[in-house]
Amino acid sequence: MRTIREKARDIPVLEEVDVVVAGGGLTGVIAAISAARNGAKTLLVESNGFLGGIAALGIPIQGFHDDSNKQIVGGIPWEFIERLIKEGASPGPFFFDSEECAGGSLIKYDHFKLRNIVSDMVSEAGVTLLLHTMAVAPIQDGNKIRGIVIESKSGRQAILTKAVIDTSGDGDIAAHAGAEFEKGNAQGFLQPVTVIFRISNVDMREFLGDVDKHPEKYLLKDPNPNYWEKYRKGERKGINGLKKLCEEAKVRGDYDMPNPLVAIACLPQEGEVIVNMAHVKLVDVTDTKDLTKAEITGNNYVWKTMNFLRKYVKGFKNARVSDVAPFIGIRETRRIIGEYTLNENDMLACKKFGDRIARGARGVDIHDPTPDSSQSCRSMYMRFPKGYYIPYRCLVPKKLENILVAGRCISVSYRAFGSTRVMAQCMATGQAAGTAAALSIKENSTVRKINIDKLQDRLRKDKAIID
Amino acid sequence: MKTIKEQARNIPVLDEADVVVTGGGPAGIVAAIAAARQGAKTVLIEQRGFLGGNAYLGLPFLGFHGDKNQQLVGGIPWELIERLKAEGASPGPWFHETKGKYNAGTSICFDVPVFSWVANNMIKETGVKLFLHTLAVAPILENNSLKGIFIESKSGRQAILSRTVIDASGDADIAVRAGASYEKGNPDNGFLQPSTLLFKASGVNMKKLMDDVDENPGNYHLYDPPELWKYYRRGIRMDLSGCEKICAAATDAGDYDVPNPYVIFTCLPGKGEILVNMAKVKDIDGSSNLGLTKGEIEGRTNIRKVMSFLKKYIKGFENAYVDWIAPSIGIRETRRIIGEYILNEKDMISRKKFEDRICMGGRYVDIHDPTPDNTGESKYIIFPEGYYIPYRCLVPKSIDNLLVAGRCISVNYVAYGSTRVMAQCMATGQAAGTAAALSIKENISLRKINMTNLQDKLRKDGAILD
Repeated sequence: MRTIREKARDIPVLEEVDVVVAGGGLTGVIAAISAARNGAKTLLVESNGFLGGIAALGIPIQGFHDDSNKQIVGGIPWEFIERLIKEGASPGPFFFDSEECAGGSLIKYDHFKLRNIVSDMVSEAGVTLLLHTMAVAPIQDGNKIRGIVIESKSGRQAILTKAVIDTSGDGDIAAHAGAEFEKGNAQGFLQPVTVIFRISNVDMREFLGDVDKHPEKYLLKDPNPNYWEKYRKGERKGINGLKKLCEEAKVRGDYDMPNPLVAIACLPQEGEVIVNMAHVKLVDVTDTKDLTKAEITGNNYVWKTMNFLRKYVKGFKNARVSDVAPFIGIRETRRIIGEYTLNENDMLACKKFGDRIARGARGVDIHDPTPDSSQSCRSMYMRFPKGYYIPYRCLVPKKLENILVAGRCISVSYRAFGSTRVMAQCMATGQAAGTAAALSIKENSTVRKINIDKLQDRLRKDKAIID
Repeated sequence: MKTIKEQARNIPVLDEADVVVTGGGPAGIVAAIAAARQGAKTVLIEQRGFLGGNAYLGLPFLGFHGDKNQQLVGGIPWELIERLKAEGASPGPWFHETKGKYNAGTSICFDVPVFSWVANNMIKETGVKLFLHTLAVAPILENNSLKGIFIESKSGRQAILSRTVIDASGDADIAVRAGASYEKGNPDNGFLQPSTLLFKASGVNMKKLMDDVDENPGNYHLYDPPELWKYYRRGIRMDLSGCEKICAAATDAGDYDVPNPYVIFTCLPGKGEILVNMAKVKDIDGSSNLGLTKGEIEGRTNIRKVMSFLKKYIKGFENAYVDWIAPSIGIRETRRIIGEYILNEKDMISRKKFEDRICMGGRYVDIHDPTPDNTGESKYIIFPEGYYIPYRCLVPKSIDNLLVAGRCISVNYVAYGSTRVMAQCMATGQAAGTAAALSIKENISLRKINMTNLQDKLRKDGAILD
């Protein structure tokens, strides 16, 4: 590969802190709050102009409850949910009753109010925030991480720190520092990415009237769903399916997207729905070329979907796309290899690790990653009715010192990832990582050598659910 | 200042191009399209996951027409408008038929998601190579000549080599890091115009709002003709501003403490939807990460304050709600590069017809009160016949292979109050893209390009320079 020589240079140090959290998604927000509340001088870095990551797109939060509706994630993540409810940004959890679903609960919210609330929580905790700032590289002394390099409108700057928590979703800092990782399934295929978008001005009466009349078109089992009646009374359910219409459109050349069905979620405002359907396949979004391709293809799918809905689905004739997510929703990239790699057998057996720091329970949900869509959309369900435990070692990358990962890029197997990737578990690992980093500093230890009993005591005291 | 040492190293070259455009806002989009259409191998770099820049904040396009409704900007910028109209995403221009100090040509509102999609399509059709989620971080410099840029992304640090670079970053990031001289803000005190986090209010009862305008015309900076509701119903979308007294009363009652003493609304294509341009933040520098962070956080707080004020005090907003917040704070002003010529307001008032003119402008000078304590005044100067922008404003002094386009071109503080709007940014983009491509075709430096050739080419492509 052709290269160009860049000269040595001095980079100004912007800040010196105890803990740097790289990535302001919900994981990073919770990690930063927990580190700061435990007394660490904490700095949170986010490349966008707002916090929330994937949750800033409006995707429902999953993983807070197990199949019997028992709560399995508490602590700061649950405090955040309660705050959403209190400020009128969320109706609270909705429990799945269908056996076909992945189990547990789903929490919808107003994603613009969510952005405000996470900003407030971060600032109340005393976290220093840097928005519009990209964490681009670790500062290393061999295997020891000493800080990170950032790039922004202010140019290249350094932040020195005692511990880094990589909440980039992709394990960027850990990977750049030399951590080993895995990516995708045995063939290297990754789950598809999706552009989320919102549609306004839907004639809900016409749309849901048709759902009631032809439930078979929408994959509804209930022969008499009465959706319109329920909607009028304020109930907001999801409508998944339209498979037959998709097939019909395909025959007529009006549908050429890889996703065989449409998932529509009704929003609180009358006539508004959010669509989560346009799968973009065969992209590795840790590569800037693929990431660009994914955004462009995904954006195209928005308009293709819109044309399809207008032409084939009742009630969408005068509908408009009112908002497209500012970045593509990414399901899967790197899984950093840590001191332990959690696998699906541990989870099925509900292995109670001595160093457990969080719980999970959501069914494994792997959106078909194969190029020819040879698996059906969600073929590989695996259920965990008793829930499972996540050990601290999954957050500790092998070899490297002073760095933890939290969120979807923790050390788990391909199948386990299909469950641990959801937001409640990401947040729970965030709280554990933030607390661990702060403790390591208080005790003048390192994140690898931290006293697990103390960490667990602290987490329990902070209402995390680990037993 | 404490520093750390970064060792010398080899950076992988991702691509090689004739023209690299940094920044995918209005200026950059048009510059890239123009360069590619002239046959240059063109790369466009954008830090976000979408194209649009300030056009993605919901703001209307200003500056396409003069006070006499004469069109001042054509070419690729106008093509974008035509395509938005064809998609049903814009009602087209709203002519401000006014008689006061706010003479202002037109305002063109549009659906933000459609704009981004149309831009994607035009970029693809012209063969521009696009890199999203990629930050242009530094020039590759040999003596005073640009050889490309360094970028940062999920793929790490990479280089793109290029024969020319167009800095359309809005803040002249690359030009300044290459050593170009610049000015920033008011020359007397360094104050910058405030920034605003834009948001969309939905569920506005438009009839009620517009009936109120008719009943209390003195409250609003009223545009002719009255009976706005009649026009709105027909699909026309207008701007509305004013209500200074109501804002003052609310301030006295302790219900309003946002540094924006009047309402500024743009009616959006969707029924009952209004873009609210009021959540101002003062005293921040949008060309620094600390300034941007402060702006985003204060902007969010101010949106909540503005919304509760509107619900309580402005007719029609009783049941309105915040439906959308721009993904980034809107920055009005940062750096102005010092180029081979610095356009000033006297040139503009006297309509100086520069030999090397490459586009026109006409919007009034609009300088939002930049004083931190709100003691200043917003400044207005009008240009009823329009003015000309010379090519030299795009050419930074002493740096080769580099042009700037968009709001950071070489103008003085007052002139900037007019040239900063999107139509002029796009027009300078078309000129910069065309010039860069020509310089490569003719193998001549950007500074020495043949003006007649450039102007002929621009005229052929629909640009308005006469």
